Amino acid sequence: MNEKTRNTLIIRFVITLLVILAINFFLPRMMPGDPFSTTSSDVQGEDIVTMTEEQRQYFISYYGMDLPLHEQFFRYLANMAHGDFGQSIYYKIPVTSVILIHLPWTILIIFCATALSTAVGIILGLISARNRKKRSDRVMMTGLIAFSEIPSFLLGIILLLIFCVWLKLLPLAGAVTPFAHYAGVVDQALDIAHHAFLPVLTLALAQLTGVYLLTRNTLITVSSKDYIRTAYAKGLGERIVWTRHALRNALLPVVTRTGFMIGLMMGGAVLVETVFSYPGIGLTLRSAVVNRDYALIQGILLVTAVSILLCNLLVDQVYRKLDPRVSD
Amino acid sequence: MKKSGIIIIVIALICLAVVLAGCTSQNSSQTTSASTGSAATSGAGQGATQAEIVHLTGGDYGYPQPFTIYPRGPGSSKVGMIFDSLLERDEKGIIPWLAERWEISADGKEYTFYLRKGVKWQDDLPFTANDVKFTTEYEMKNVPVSGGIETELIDSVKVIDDNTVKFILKEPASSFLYKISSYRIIPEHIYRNVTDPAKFLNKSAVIGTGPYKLAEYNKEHGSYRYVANEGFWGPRVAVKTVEFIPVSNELIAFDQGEIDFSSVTPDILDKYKDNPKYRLVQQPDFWGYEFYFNMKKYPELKDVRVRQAFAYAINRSELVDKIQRGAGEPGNLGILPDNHIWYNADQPEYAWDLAKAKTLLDEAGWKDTDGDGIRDKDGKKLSYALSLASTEVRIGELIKERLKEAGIDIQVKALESKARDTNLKKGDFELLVSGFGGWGQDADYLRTRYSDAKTLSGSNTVAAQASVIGYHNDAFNSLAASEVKELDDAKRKQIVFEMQKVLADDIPTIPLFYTKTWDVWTLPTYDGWMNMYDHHARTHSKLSYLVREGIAAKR
Repeated sequence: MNEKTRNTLIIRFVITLLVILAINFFLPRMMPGDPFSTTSSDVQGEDIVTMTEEQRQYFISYYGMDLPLHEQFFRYLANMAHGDFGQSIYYKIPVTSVILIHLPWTILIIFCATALSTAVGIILGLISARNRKKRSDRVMMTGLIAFSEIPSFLLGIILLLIFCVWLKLLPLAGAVTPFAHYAGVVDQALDIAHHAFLPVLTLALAQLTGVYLLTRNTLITVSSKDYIRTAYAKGLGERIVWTRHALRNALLPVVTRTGFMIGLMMGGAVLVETVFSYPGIGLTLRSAVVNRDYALIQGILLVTAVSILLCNLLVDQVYRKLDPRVSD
Repeated sequence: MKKSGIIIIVIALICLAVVLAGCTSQNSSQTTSASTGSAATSGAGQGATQAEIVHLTGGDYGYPQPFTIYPRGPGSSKVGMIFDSLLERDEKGIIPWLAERWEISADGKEYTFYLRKGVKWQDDLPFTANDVKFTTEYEMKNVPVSGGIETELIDSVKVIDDNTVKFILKEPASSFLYKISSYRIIPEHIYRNVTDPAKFLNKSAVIGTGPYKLAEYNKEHGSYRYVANEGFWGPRVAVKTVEFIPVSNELIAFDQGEIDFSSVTPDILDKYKDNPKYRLVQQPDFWGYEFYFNMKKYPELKDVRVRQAFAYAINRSELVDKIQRGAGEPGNLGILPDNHIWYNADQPEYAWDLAKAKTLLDEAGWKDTDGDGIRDKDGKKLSYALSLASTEVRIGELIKERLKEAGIDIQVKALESKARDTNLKKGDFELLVSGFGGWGQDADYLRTRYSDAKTLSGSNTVAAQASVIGYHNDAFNSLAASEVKELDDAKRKQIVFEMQKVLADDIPTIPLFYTKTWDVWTLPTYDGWMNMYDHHARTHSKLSYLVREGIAAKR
């Protein structure tokens, strides 16, 4: 990469970031309502706070929302430059604290689920492609496609019923045992793994079929290519031809997909976090939107956008490693 | 592909069966006793009156001090376990608490409270009248999320001596004692040095005079642990430790023994009925849905006959059966629900009556002249968009079906709930449905919702009981004006009875139905759960956690 392309790349990232910042700021404020005029409950039986107009005005000025919009925006940019994301209106603590509390849990389950679904998906895809037109391929394919039709929250509930209610092997909710005091790090890690198991499994299963199908289909396309025939002609064994020659070429689209999926999985995470009452950022974002917590919406969307940008960057790098033709 | 299609269907069916079996394993018969009131059912007699520990449904509702809880959910009841008010509420009414007794001046503007002696804050410093004065003045500058008082109503607070404090109001407010009963007193010696209480999150922020101390709070996981305050001045604490823990599905967690109290959906009541281990009781009907007319934008809705026709045509009992599966009560046109202490049973009923609805519309001049099934008059059709939240679409569809029979056309318009709230506030809707709680509160809310005469108290209440835009009724306004000044409860009750009659005749809005959720708890663990007379949730009552003796004795 020469200096010029690097510079254009940086400029492009800065522009993207600015656009994201502006959208993050203005979009939430364009939604109807404000954080202090709730008149209905979200669910039956829920209590909501009642406020007089005077009290409402107090809160509006407390959070600086009585200033002109452009002034609020410049304030926001200035604060961002100092690394200050502002104060969450709903949670009453700094936005950075809210994100730091909840984001790691989502990263944990998304990362584990992506790793798991990608690894298993590739292996299954390889097996399936090698046994193409045989019975095992057909069974695997039908089974997995059928499986992928189950919505992830339903899948979550089924797993919850099996593992927590019938087998009583795993905890029902949360990310750790409430009020637990651990003997050591290992103890704590085990407790976290114990709680994360089902959310990870649910998310992974929901993604598995996509990876599997992509791997299988690309492998089948690749396997009819000339260089595969050449590889066989060189006298290489079937195992080496499939893993070294076919799989490596077939992995390109799979890697691209995994990169894009990270962003999409935020959506899946909301459902899974709801089912398992898992303290991730997805649920927090939902409550931020419902309650019009502008500062928090901005913060979470920004972090999400930046991590998607970083993922794309990472995918580019992995791509280069896999396919020498891409790097110039 | 045909074969795989069948396999897919079979697998999907198996999964569905598994889920259904798990959710409703004892779904044999529908219960019909839902309308028999909150004293319904259950097996054994008395359960445990005291407990070492009780587990309840958790979730994060904020740090339990008045300025840092969240505006949604049971945050304020978590504050109430630590902080006390001058007065408290039991099953019948308002009872003395930090104040032993009180006096009201003849003009209704001066309230003198005589405070209990020997009350200590949880850090052992004495509680005095200065704390009460401080709380009021502090909250004029720093508005709490909940449990505050309308400071615009208060002229000043005077400390007479260490144990006597006087509130002077700008104008009389009949519900002032009620407001005082949820007004949490904070310690002066701690909060006077706090410039921004919304950021005050350390240990001393949760020092109150109340029955519990906060032992542990975890924002991340939504868990709270409360332990009994050994130095509590009042009745003995019945539950030594209360733990709120996160649950995914409340009923599953209850069945697994993780929590000791849960709500139950109507279709699995049989599982808990006549079982000596459980008590199964309905909540009072203090949460409900209201149906609004936009009389400002659509003058034809100002015709009372048209509104009455809506009331006859909408089948409110059907909504209770189909939406609530029986666990509810059809709305009263006098607004106050059946379980409200001042509910007037003597009011027009408006049971579902299509013929009456049709007659009323005919009388008002609305006839279907072009034969399209929709009534019209002077070229205007009786056709409206009904705004509601996306979770309430089924309510909208049932209303649509019934109104269609009367010749009124409805388009159901599902919105995100906050958008709907905003439209209601701005008057930017045609017809609208909204659900909220607080229907059991002091009947003064009839005045703040339906009277358009401006007073200081609750004049512009924006939350929940949003006032009804474009409604004006002179008779009601004058009743409301005397209600807010009436200090004699018996006389005020008579006025409130009259107000309900006026409303039921005039129908400014239609309460569709109130919910009556079923609660279940395990008798061997703890059986002290009670309802405050104005609130539906038992776990929110302070007295639920105390031995019912002395000032807290059962009434």
